[in-house]
Amino acid sequence: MLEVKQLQKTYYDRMGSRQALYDVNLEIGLGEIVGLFGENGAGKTTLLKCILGFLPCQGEILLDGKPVDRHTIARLSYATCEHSFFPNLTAESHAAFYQMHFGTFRHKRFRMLMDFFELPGKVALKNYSAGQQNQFEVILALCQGAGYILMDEPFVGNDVFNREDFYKVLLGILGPDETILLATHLVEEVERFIGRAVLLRQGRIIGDQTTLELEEQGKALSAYVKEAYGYRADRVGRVLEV
Amino acid sequence: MGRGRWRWNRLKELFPPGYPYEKERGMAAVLLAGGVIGSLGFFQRLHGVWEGLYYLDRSAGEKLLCPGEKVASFLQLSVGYMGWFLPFYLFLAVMVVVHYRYYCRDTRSIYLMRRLPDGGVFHRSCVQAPLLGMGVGVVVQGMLSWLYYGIYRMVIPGECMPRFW
Repeated sequence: MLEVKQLQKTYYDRMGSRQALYDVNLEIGLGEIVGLFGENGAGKTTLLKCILGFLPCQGEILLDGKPVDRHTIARLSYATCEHSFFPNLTAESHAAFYQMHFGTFRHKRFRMLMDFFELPGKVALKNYSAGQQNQFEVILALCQGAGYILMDEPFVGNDVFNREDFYKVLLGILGPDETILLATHLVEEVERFIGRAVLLRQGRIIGDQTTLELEEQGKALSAYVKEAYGYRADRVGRVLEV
Repeated sequence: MGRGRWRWNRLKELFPPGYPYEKERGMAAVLLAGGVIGSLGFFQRLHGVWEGLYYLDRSAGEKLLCPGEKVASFLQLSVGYMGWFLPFYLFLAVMVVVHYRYYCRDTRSIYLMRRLPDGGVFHRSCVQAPLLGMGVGVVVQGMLSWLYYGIYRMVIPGECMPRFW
């Protein structure tokens, strides 16, 4: 289980300080697929980076009861729209690098996904298209052999068919011991893919529901998100009237 | 694909993964060669010092050693010329910073490096090539110093040697 306890993050700069996360508490069990939603600046990326230990923060982050450190970090993988691969290396070199550093690297899955997305293995990644680079970024995260796969807007720049393919493949290949925490804006798209939705607003969790609970309430995920954010549908109409 | 595939040539492995190291290696070689060439100025100085030890005896028509003349120590003579290696060392020190920044260039591969179970890999990849370069520089400088010292001892007559080298 991934536990985030009373997480607080404050950014400091010359202009002063800005709190990005306020007492965030979150528990994600093994095998869950969680969507993390929020407007720009809500704190989604900050939360993921704090979990990964990239940002200093206050609070506690535990992986199966242990703090995230050198011994447990390999249980977390990360796919980001900023990309974390080496652009001058080929896909095959990346596989070799991952294999060398992560004993749990899933080489068979890597081959399968490379074939499925028809990505060339011997071409430097800087020569991939933006969509291919996103695909490869996610492939690496899925093949590291981590129990907890964190994704931050991984499909920015991919077309809708491509994203659809990815969701289907993900559902097909994920094992019961693999957890996904996916930060995205694509609420409608991931509705059928996730099992739980966590809503962040201005650094605070303002909603946390499973899709089953939403189903029981007869609510669509997008409606739940809009409601939680106090979205006013008549806003556009009013502008157009003027 | 086994672990054995992660076998580039040994030098490549000292740099960050995918780092275009050829230019850096070339520049380091040029600066090291510049240091060696610059240090050759020592011989010009040594020649001047050596000439200063003698005077021309017109009656005999030959050069004779000035009585009681002492030359500067080897350290005094050579230290300035070893300064030619400074750009080489400075370049390598700057390269350490360049290597760290490489992980934030184009992509954020720093996120991968910081997630590696062996935390030393990230820092090692940034410093080991420049450190090796510095080591090579020190060895080359050391060998040159011994060579120059040997020549200094051969050229300067014993009675003109300073008390300390």
